Amino acid sequence: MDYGLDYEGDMGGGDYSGGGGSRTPSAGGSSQRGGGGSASRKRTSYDEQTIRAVTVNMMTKCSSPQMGDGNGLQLPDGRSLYHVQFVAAVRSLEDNSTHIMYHMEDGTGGVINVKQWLDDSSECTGVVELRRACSKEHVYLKVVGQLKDYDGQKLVLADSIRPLTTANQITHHFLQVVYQAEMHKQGKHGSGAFPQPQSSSVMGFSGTPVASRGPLNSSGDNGDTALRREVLHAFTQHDMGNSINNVIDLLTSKFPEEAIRNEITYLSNEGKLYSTIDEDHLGVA
Amino acid sequence: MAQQEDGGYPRLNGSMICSGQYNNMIVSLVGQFASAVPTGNTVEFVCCDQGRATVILDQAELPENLAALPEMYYELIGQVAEDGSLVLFVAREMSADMDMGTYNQMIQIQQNPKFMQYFGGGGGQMESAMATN
Repeated sequence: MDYGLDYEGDMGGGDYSGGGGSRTPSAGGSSQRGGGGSASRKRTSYDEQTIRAVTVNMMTKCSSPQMGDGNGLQLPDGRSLYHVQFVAAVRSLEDNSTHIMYHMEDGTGGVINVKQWLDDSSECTGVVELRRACSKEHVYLKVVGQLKDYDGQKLVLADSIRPLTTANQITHHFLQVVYQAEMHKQGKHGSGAFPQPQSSSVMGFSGTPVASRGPLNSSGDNGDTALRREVLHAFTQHDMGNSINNVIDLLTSKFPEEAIRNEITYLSNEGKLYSTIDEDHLGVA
Repeated sequence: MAQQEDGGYPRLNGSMICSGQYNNMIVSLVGQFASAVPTGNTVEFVCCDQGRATVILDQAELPENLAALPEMYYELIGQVAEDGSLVLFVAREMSADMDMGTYNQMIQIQQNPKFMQYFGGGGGQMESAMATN
């Protein structure tokens, strides 16, 4: 039976964005849905609460989804763009009475417009000085805001615009863009390879059963998918899980110890592994 | 050579700018000025990989506070000439604590065709970069 739970995305959580899309489980159900029947208030989806590190190129090239609200923009890898953060230089700006419009670039291609509303009545001296520091051409700024699409023209409604404290933030931001994207890609490839405990047939999983997926993708971009499968399998050896050292001893011939430890840490943080009899013994959730 | 997209320019280091792949393109160089005093209309620039590039000051001047802050790092936007020198358009002040090693590694990642979807072409160099990578 399909409970309508969407396992896409990092958290594997359902899409709780209210309205007619909510489908409650038939029994017991999730207490997160506010108890039987439809939700009493609209829940914001995880995507709308996520701030994604992007480049100007990514923002200008993202597309509107074929269905859904008009402001839901999407990257080619499927990630939704609502709140974004980026680092870019001011090419030019227009100082109006109600708002400041920045035209910003970061070298990746394209120029993005960033709108910052002004509220002189409630702004303190510090805010005014901060805005003055940002309102210069050829200065790098860190922007956090909402990405909007108005008739094909992308615009960022800024929640925060700050000058950089160090130029290393430029380097960090670009690396963060790559890191987030690759983690998302690993999550997509890895979710289908997670062995489901107790059963080889998967209930409620939107994809094909694990057993029928065929050989593990050996031509993938990284060996972490194979590592993840091996680690998870190693922790299902016993009812009370397995000790970390035993797992490392089992797998050290195939993978470096550091990679195994990192994978165990990652899976623990994601909630895929949990402590059983003590901190050194983990089981698969 | 492919037309460069507005706002798109590859980030280079000293060895890349001398390679000839980016001639006549608008590029970005990050580093420090070797001297606060130009020699004629040129000045040496130390790039993030410690390679040196010649910067031509026909279109723009040196930053005003260069002499006062010689340790400051700058981002230079300009056009690469046939001889590998850079005709300066804009100099953006970075910070004095910028880590050149990490930045140099980051631009290698940007040049990797695997991540082109995030960083665009930055101009028409990606096709030639793909051929050599």
